[in-house]
Amino acid sequence: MKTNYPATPLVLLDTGNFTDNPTEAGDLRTAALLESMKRLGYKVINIGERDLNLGYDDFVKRTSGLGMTFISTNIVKQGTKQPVFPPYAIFEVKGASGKPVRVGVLGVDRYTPVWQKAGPSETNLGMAAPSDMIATYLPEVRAKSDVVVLLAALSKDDAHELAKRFPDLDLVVGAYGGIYNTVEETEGRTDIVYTGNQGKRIGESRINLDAKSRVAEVTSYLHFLTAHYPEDKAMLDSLADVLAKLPRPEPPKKAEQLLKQAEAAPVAQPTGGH
Amino acid sequence: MISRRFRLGWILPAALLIAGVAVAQAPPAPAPAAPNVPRTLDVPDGALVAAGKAPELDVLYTGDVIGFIEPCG
Repeated sequence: MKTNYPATPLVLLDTGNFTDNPTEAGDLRTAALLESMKRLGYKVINIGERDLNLGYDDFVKRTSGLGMTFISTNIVKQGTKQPVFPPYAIFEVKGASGKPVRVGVLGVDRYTPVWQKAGPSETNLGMAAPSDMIATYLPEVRAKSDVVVLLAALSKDDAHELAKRFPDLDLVVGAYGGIYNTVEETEGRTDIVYTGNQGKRIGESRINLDAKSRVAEVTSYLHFLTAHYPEDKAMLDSLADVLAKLPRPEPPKKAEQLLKQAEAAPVAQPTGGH
Repeated sequence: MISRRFRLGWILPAALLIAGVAVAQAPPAPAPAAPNVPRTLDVPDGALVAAGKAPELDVLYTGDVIGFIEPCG
């Protein structure tokens, strides 16, 4: 993209749940992933449920100083509707035409009334209904932005419902349980794109604005990162140390047993011939 | 008195003529509506980057990466 369209700004976003399991190897992978996202220039990241598995303090420790903006519109102080993290982000980029483009980003997780995690200062974190919180913050984000994106860590059906209820959203991008789009989906004028999981696919939405700097056209693609896409050597080199530290999985026991049996078996002798 | 045979002799051609004019004047049947097939999200022609004019803004996004930093299989 940078080669073909050098004047077009690239805005990298993530819908959250970037965190691996809380093991020694998992922590190494999560730290390496966040460092890589920083190197790639990710701008705004929604905080997913997994990212708070060990609570607020652990999350802050793992993400502080990275220079990326972590948001959540609907993670709140339990029993209230007070967001614990920035409920949205607004930033400005220079568009391909040279005009400034203001991008507003909100981020929501699926509504789980019983979800709770350790919060700051001996409080608990809770989850508020996404629609309630979007209703609270979308008007001010819309007023200050040319393009409004919702990062959705919830089911695609829920994303459609939100897009239907809030037509001021220009784009809803999501990830939830490996679900991804194969074709364009819209709700009214809002495009909805799901990217699957494990970083196998990257969504791309090309946005053009009208004379009033409102979204006029969105064209989306989903890049499936097969071997067809060249590897980034600099990124591989930067991950080499981390990958070397990761424990390799042991071969399955059955294979080991077969190997031992094969070693113990007498070698068959040729049986003559012509 | 007009014979039955005479009546048939002019009624049949007249009916055919009227039917022909009616068919000729009828508006053409509307073409069947094109099926509303959503556009695929695949990049066309197997390219790495889709062709086209430069967009004003390009948003790229991921999610649920759950610590994957190498191919999963």
